[in-house]
Amino acid sequence: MISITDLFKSFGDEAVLKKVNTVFDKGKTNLIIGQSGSGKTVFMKCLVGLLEPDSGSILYDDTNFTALTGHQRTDIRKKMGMLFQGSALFDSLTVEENVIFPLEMFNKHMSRKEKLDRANFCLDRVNIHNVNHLYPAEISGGMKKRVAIARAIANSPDYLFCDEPNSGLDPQTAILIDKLISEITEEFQMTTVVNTHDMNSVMEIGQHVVFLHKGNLWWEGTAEEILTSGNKEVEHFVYASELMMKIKNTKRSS
Amino acid sequence: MILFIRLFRESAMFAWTSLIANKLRTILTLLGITIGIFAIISVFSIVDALERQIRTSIASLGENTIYIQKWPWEFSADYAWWRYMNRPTPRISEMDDIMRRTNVLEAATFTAFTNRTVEYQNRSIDRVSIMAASHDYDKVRFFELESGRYFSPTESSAGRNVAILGAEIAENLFQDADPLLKNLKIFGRNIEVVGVFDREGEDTFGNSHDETVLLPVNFVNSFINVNSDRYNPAILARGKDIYSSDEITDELRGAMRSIRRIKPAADDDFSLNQASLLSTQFDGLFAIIKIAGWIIGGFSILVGGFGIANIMFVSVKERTTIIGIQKALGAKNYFILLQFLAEAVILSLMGGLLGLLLVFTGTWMASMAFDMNLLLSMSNIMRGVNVSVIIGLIAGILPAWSAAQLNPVDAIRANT
Repeated sequence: MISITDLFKSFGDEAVLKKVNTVFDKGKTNLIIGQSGSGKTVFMKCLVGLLEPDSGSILYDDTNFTALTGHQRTDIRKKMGMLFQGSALFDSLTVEENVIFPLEMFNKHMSRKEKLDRANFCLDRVNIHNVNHLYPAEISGGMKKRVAIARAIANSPDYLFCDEPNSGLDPQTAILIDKLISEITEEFQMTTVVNTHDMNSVMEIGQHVVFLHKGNLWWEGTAEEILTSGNKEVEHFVYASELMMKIKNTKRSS
Repeated sequence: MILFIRLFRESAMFAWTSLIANKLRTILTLLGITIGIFAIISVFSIVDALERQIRTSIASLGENTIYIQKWPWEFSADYAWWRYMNRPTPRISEMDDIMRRTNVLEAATFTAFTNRTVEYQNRSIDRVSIMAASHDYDKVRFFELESGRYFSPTESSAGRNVAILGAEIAENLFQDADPLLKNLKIFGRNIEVVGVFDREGEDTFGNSHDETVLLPVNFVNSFINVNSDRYNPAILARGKDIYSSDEITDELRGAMRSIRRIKPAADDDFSLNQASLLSTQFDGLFAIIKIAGWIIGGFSILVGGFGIANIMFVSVKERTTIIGIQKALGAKNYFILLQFLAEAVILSLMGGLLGLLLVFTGTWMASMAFDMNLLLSMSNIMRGVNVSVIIGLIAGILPAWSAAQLNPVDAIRANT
């Protein structure tokens, strides 16, 4: 669980996060949505410790992350898995080596065999088979994304952060990836935070959705609730696409 | 480790693509290192060749051989040359006395020089170097005979009219004919050729038997006074191998002072010259040349080093994303640092190896064209490699450090 209390961050005179309060529960897929410039990225960076908030606190379970110094944060960081936008696999490493990378960096005392077993387990879990020795350039975009998920969970993280996990994927593959993230979140009882623009993802896996607007936590709820939030800004964001407008109209007429 | 190598390969491939895409920039950058290494290693190779040549020359003079002469080979700054003018020259009798009084010598010989015209039938050569030497000359100076023999003890002691010719003299005077047992005319006297020196070629000090005619000193002494200053007389004393050079010198100094009855407080009236003194003088000269090589090449390498640092900074900038991802996945600062350092070193090594290749080609061509014994030694190759590695490390440390200190903040929004 991640508890955020009064999180405030500004750049100069401009406040980017204005006392945000929320809780991301364990075993749930938590989505951060909002328009460009709403503060999503800054929020995510503050969560993973890449930016220091001006005030407020972030509690990882019982540990106050914001009160820790850089070195003291290492233990928490070891519990974080990260899924980058566009997979960000290392081109010169094979699929298997890519998954082993965080194990090599964080688990000096793990034997080579243990690392290999763990990598294979993770690859199996994301339904990647028989491509362990291929290079990223030799596999499809969807497979790359799944390998990236395998890499993100290699260290058995308690917290999983995903940045635009569907960018560059076709809608079908995007749905598969969304489902996979949701499944592993539940299966491994992780606290997953997804930063996304994609309303399909919101509808598919949004167990807890946080809508940011101009640095404020404007609205939060479930995917179902977002369609009937009654909040003008949220509706403006949700029904920005014609498809969503049709869904809205269909719901109203029915 | 394997992972590091693989990731390093990725960095290297990235860098390589960047280098290939900017060929001119790469060539200009590496040129500094290449020219620098070329300059330094060329100077070292040339100095090595000269040193080798000098040491060979000294060895031919005899490393343990001391020349007892009127004049010293090196003069101190406060040298009062007029004091040497009145010194007596070494004499043949003194050589015999030395041999009687000391037991540190293997052999000693008395030599004197003059220039005379050498005639054979209707051919003649002017101003040939005539060397008169006592019998043990062959035990002090090492040489090979192409044909014939050395003087017999009787010929030397009796002062017989026999000669050994230098290869050049024999060739010019007799051309294709065999000079052995032919009669030459020197000093207006008939002299029988009993041997011909093997061709030696001139060494650094101009010492060679090629253009010399060797005669028994007792023969020459019968019509000119070989002890005279104008014939540059000298006693060449070769010490036994078991004694050090200092022991031999001390022994000879004592013997000469005793022979000449020099009072304890008085200065020597003779000079004890040694070939190794010459090499000491050359050591100083070579040290200066080497320093000059370092300075000339050093500036070029400095420019090359700046170029590499510049390329590395660009490289870090271009790879911010990948650095960030590695760090976000747990890569430690040293891991990133090593990757970029290794890249800078490899870049510098490429320049250095190119420089070494130029030196190798240059030395090979010079050896072929000018009959020089120039070669790129393993020690110079290692020197070039070491300098390249050190420059790579120095030039790469700052960019690598900046890469290692990068905040992975940008990685989260990576566009990969």
